[in-house]
Amino acid sequence: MKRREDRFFVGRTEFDSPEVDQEVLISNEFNLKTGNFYNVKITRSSEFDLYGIPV
Amino acid sequence: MKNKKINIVTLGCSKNVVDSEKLMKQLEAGGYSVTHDSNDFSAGTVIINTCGFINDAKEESIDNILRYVRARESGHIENLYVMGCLAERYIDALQAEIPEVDRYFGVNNIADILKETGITYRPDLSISRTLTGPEHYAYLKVSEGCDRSCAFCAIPAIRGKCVSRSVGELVSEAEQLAKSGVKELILIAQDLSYYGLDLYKKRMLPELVSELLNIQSLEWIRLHYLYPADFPLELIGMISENPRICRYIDIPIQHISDKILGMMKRSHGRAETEAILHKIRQEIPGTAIRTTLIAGHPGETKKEFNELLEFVRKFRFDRLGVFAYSHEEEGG
Repeated sequence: MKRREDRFFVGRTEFDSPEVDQEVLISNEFNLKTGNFYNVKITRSSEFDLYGIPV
Repeated sequence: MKNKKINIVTLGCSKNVVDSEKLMKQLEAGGYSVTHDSNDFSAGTVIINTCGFINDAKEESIDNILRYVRARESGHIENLYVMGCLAERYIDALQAEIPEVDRYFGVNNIADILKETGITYRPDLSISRTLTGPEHYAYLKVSEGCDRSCAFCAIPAIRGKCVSRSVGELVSEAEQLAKSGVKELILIAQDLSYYGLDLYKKRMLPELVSELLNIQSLEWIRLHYLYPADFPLELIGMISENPRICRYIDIPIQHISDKILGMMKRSHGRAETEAILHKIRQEIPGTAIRTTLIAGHPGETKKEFNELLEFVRKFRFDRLGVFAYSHEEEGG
């Protein structure tokens, strides 16, 4: 989990590097902590990013 | 200096970020309050760490220098310094064209910059950094410069030949980073495949990664990036067996046509490139393969471009960066 933005937490998978690759957006209604690892189920995608929910 | 605040502005790549972070640590140890904010004009001293690679980046660096030159005319800035690749490469032209900058420094001369700000370089802090990003990941720069002579690239002309840092020093730096909360360590260099050859007379990346894995609080180790020729094959087994090394291979192939790869002075052709890509995909199941490509290199006609396009369609890279060719005066 990388950082918290207005509506989303912003995370990254093992397959993505900071700055150059896509991110995983997770609604900030979940109780997550920046810097921690979570298992996330991907629920939808946009042009560049993935959206998911913690499992 | 009246205002004991220094702002560092970093442009360009992650390697520049590491240079800025080392400089910031030394400045803080010397009693300065240091910020890292490209829109902060309140500091007494501003140091701009520039990028000199490809035209867009050079323009961005020059725009930022001019922004601070203008801010200085009306604000608090007493000293304006410029360091990094652009300054290394074009110091004479910059001094002539933008004389409002107090002093230009090239690369690898942190001691001179510190001297200019009135403090002495502390060797005991050589592996210490003030992290500028989130605290849970950090870059580890394993070497400076590059021994390749790719036709499109000016890095060796700017940064010189490859100089690897020792395994011991890198492990110490990584331990410090881990202690400060870093969980993901991203190894960077112009060419990780080459690491160690200058210092140990052998390629040492697998050994370095093994040592770093001993630092238990590092949950992820990521590698950026691996030149296709001389790809350290030992790594393939290590990555597939060790979940703490990210299944993420960043292998910039630049092109696939033998003719263009030859003109680029790359030491791999189509057959070797395909062989290593397929080997990685087969032997590390689920790995993400990232590459970068250059379109429009001199000599490329529709025929070679279509060959590249066809290859990209067929291989389906997991991550892909594509750049239009940018001419460099001092390519290899």
